[in-house]
Amino acid sequence: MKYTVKKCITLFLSLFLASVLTFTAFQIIPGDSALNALGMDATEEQLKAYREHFGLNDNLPTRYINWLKDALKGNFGYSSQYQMQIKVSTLIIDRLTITLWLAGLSFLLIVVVSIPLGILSARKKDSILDSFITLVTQVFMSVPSFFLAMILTLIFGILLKWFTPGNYTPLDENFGNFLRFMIFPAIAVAIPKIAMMVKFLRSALLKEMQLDYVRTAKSKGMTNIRILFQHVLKNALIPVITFLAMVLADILAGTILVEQVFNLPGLGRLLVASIANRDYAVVQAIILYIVSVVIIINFLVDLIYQWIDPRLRSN
Amino acid sequence: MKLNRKNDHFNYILGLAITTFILLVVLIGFFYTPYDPNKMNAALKNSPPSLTHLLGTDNFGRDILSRVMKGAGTTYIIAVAIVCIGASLGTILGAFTGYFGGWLDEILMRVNDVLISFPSILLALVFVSLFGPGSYNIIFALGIIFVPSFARVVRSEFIVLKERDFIRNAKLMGANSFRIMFVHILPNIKRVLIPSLLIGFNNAVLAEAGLSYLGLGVQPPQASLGRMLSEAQSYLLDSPWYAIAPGVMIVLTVLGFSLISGGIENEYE
Repeated sequence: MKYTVKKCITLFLSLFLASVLTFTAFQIIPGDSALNALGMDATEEQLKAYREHFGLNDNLPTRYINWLKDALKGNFGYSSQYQMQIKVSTLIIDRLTITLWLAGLSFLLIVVVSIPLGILSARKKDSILDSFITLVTQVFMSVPSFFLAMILTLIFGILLKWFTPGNYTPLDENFGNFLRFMIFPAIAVAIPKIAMMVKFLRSALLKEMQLDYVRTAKSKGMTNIRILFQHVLKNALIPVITFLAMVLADILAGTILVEQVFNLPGLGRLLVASIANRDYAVVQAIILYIVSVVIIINFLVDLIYQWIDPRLRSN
Repeated sequence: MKLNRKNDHFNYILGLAITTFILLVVLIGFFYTPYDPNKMNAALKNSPPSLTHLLGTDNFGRDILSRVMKGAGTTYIIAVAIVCIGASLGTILGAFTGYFGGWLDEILMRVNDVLISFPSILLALVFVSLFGPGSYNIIFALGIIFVPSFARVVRSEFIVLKERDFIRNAKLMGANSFRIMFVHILPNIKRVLIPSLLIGFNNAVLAEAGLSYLGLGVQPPQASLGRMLSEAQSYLLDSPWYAIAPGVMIVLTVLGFSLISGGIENEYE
């Protein structure tokens, strides 16, 4: 209980810090934000009215509190790249679905493919199969996901014509086509992470198998398979979960690049476009969003640890 | 077990071979390229690999081999600069926090933990959106972003080594803290520092490629591997070789360095 409370306090403290940092970081941008928003030919009155309306004359803490209040209500202002016509929150919610689908599909692929491969590689240690898996993972770990995305487009889009590059179908239009298109970016994001995960899982399992309790179990006559599935896997769970949490944060970063290659209208492309267009309200909101997601994932992982490992509960 | 060691050694040699080859190509590229990498030739647009243009030409008729040689050079210089900033600041920070401990150590390590949990490309994007795109900005941004990972590695080594007998001896002999940290402890952490320098270099290459691919790093007409990939993408249909050349260059670089780093780690185990 104490552990959970402590973690909750850390969670809120981190979220608070993240919001302060995200807010202040964008205050140091040189230039007048009123001038940026209204353009060079705005009159002095218009600028004054703008500053008044958005509270730019207040001091920093007041502005932070106002910003946070709005942010908590989901109000991040209007997007300047759309001539202040579209709400930042609407933009983000629109794009979020795609990124979440992409991240979810890749995560699923990573778990489903890498765990059996890692176990296989550890079980058949030093066999030809293990060497082969090790070599392939080593190569795939070196491929940047966006280059992989291009190769997939080239092979499956242009040569084999399994999908039409750039022809993305929205989710609510046709779910089957949406999924058929999405699977390729998901593979591109997943493959390097699968390779990392297999390598990690293999070494985690091998390390665990050298411990005394494994020898004891063996001397009591347990078969290797039973030792692996009943004891070793459970004990290797903690490092694996830590690693998966890291992968989850990495996936979010991977989607930024891969969305660009596949021309997917997701959060990552919105972020890059907003940076290029100096649309700071959108950049700020997306950064705050992703940072919060990473913090919350880490918090959940801490809770999961405590659930799996009773030793943490007593301490 | 025996087979495994042989295997590891083979990987190490393979890594050395790949890296030597790549470094040679890049080094030659600094002094000589078959063609002027920025010279356009309208008659030779998107021509496939041939004897005159070994890797073909791009949409402006520029020789891709020459551009890969120069572009890899740009990418490498940026990556080395990033690692220099990250590793030197990280080592100093890690050395001081590990050696002295205390509340400053506590605070810095908490900040470190938070920063490490964020993907570096995301942090780099924040920097770029604040300070604008360009090679110098991404060197600065990624250099700073790489500090925590080095600091963490160096710190944990310092914590272990400072309790060892030879350090106690040095203290008894009257060596000051500065001398102990940088003359006695630092040389002993090279077994972890060298692999992390190599991995850091790889991460820097990948980050540069990613940012330049997004158009936020190296600006045209300068070639870099990421920049070339982003230009190549529109011509995937007509000239796939354009994308493959810089992509393979990135893969070989990262593969070579990670094989070497794995080899060094095994060597010390």
